[in-house]
Amino acid sequence: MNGLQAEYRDIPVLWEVSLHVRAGEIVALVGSNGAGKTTLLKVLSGLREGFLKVARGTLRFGGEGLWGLDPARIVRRGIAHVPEGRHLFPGLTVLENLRLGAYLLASRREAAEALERVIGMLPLLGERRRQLAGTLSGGEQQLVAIGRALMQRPTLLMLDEPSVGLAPRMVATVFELVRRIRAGGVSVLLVEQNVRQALALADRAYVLENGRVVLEGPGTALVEHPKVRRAYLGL
Amino acid sequence: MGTQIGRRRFLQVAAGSAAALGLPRGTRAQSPVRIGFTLSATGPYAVGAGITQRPNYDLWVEQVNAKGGLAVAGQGRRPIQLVEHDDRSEIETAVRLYEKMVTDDKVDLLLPPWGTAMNFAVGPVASKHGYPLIAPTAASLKLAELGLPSFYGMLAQPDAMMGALAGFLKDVKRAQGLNKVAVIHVSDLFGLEQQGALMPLLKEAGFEIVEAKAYPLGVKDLTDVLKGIKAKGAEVLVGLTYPPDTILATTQAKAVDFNPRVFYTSVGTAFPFFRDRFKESAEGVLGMGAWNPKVPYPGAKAYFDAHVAKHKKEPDRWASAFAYAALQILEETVGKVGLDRPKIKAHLDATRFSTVVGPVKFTKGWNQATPGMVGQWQKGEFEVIWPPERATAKAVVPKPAWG
Amino acid sequence: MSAALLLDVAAGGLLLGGLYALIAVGLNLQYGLMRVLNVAHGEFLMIGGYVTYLLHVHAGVDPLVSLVASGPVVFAAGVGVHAVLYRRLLRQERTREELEANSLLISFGLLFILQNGALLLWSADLRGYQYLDQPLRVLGTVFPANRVVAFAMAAIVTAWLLLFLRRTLAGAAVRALMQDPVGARLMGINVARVHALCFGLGVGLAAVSGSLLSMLFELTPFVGLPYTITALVVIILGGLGSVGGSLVGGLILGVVESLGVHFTAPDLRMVISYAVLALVLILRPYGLFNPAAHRPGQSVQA
Repeated sequence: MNGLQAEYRDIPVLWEVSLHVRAGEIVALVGSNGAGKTTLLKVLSGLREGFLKVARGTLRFGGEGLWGLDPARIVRRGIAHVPEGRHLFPGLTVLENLRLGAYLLASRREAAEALERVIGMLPLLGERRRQLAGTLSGGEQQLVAIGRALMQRPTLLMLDEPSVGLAPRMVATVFELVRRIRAGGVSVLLVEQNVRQALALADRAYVLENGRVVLEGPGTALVEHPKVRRAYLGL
Repeated sequence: MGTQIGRRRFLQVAAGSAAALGLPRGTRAQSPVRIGFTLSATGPYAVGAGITQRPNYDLWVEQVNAKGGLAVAGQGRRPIQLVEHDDRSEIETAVRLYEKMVTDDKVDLLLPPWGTAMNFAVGPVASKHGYPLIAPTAASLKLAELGLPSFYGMLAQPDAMMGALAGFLKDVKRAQGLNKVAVIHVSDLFGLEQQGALMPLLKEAGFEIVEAKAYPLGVKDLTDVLKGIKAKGAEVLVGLTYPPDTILATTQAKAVDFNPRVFYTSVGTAFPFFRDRFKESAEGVLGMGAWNPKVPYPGAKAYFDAHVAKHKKEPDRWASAFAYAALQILEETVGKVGLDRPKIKAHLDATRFSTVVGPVKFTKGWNQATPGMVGQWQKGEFEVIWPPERATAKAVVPKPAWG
Repeated sequence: MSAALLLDVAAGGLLLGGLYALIAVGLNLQYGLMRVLNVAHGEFLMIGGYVTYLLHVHAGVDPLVSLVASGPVVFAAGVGVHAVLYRRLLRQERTREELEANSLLISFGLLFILQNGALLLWSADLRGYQYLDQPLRVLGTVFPANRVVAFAMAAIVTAWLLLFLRRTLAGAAVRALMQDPVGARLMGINVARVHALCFGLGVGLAAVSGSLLSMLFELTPFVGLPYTITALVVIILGGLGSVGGSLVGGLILGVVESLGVHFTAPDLRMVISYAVLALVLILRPYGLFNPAAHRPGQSVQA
């Protein structure tokens, strides 16, 4: 995206933001609360509810514009979004949640194949397939949410705060999963407050402050940047 | 539930209908006699109003205008123009509209709305302004007690109507030993008053009352009540009912296999709809009031035929004829004394009229010439079976099994 | 008072409750999903009743067969109404309060239009016909045959609806949208289309209920509103957005009303309904079966 500007109730929340994700890359987006990270993801996935609107800038994905598309079209282009708070369907079973991930897949066979792949990657979901999603632990729910997004067979997976509220062991599981997803050829855009681990994982990273990109560069380099050390790593 | 849209439409229809009636040439020059009224086109009273009053108003206006207009003493014939509104079965709305028709529209004459409660409410408005109102669908002692100077009631009052029913039941009790009676009534002014008049008469006659229950206007279901009554072994069911509940009580009595020897329901029983709806099951059902084209009064058969010809449906077998008779009385009076309202009142008070329901004579505003009557569906006709001197057929008791 | 009569009355209430449930499920599909409180729900019921009445009286079609017409016809009409009246409103989707208020206004308008349209077309005359109105003897007591048949049909239609919601992907999408609209949109579920589907389904169910009710009760253009109110009581009782809750709520209301009326008077039927509602609201503010009681802000379970 280039020079993107978005407004909420006519108040700009993103200023001239430019960032890109290359194929097979993990890109981290870090920043404090209210910096505009979540808004950025919503703009990308077409989830512009309420008073949020994009004022100007260009959005391109795989050579095609994403301007003004609804979420269904964007999903078809290959962008999957695991939102903050997961937004699972708590009263539906794990299996039903996953099946809905493949809502747009044309054939039953494709959906069945996608399901097989996701359960192969996340065997836990297979074990819990009959359980209601709302009854799972937070970490398990996060896995369901990611699995559900993978059912869409995306080329870009956007994760919003996947580690928030999880036990350290579960955080490790999730980050390991992100690595495996990338190994499968899917680009990942990761929004995280867990800055150290995110930067360690990411190929490149952006730091967002008050709706502007203030720093960008390889993850390993940014970890060493004094500003990041001071502001986000408490060093 | 009524609506703004409803009323607006109604006004348009009203305006259109005067033109559509096709007044004969020559009367155009005469300014019309403007007659105002409300009828419930929507809400719970709409069914009764649409069967008993509306068709008769339309029929009468058509007949009068076909003759060249309403004969007004000293002025020749003047066409009738209706000023009409939908009161939406709301009493406040009706009161407001009558007030408006008198003060804003300045109509020449008023016709009454449908139903006891409505007339109770608008009667005082009409009387306050000196407009005579001749009501074919009002039966209330409380209304009579108001002593409204220019309100006239066509129907037998609750005491007379229930007196006739009690007289009939006593006769059956004597002949067949029936004793257990259940009474249900709609809890509006009509039901309350009829019930109030009936209960003492039943007790006095020594009946055992096994059940007495009220139900609300617009009731949806009576099966539970009827099952209870059946369980208590009632031999006589008296329903002091309004049209929708008359149908409901009959349908549901049949459906729970409750077939008392005497089955009596009130307003609506005399509707041809009742007969057409229940077919053989209507046989032997008794109802409040009665009139049929066999009655020996001048014009009765002609009225019946004209109603069928115009509306492609038969008039109901009770108050329809009284609605038409009220219009006959108004027409005759205006022909004699003109549109001066005190003179109209004087004429109404003093005259014995001859109508399709027989002689009508108002004493203190109420027609005392028509007794309370009981009717019964017999082979497709609603026969007058009580009092004996008015009967067009003998009563069938016990009522046959539901068809 | 004999136990047999008591059971008899309760069973009668259950039969009527089955119809309440079907009407309420239809209303809940609209409200639970879109926060569109359709006060004209009962008018669609009325239309279903007239369709059945007209087909039966003028074309001799069996009322049960006519369900096949009234349901789909009103479903299609509902989808059309949704496209014309609600789609734009839902697309603007500002605040939930605004949506609820505006949709309420629209449905009031719809109520007046449908009622007056019916009045013009069919007049205020009572309409009814005799159908299976002989008594049916079951276990020593008597039930109206048509009620038993109506209840059975209501049960079949409800079972069909549950199967649709539970066993098909489209049904899962409906439940998903009820439970988490944001999540549903991210799955690529076309919100407007599912809304239209549910609005159509909701009013279609109302029409089927109306067809069944026309076998039991007389029709006028004004029969609808009281059923809308009953349905509203049921869905609040059972929980907004909970189809299962509406089913149980409808049955409970039917039985409680019948017993209550039996021991007091029919005059008090509405009072009894409201008393039940008040009691439930005091004890379980989110309804009997709404798991949202434990998870504020989300309504769950289809």
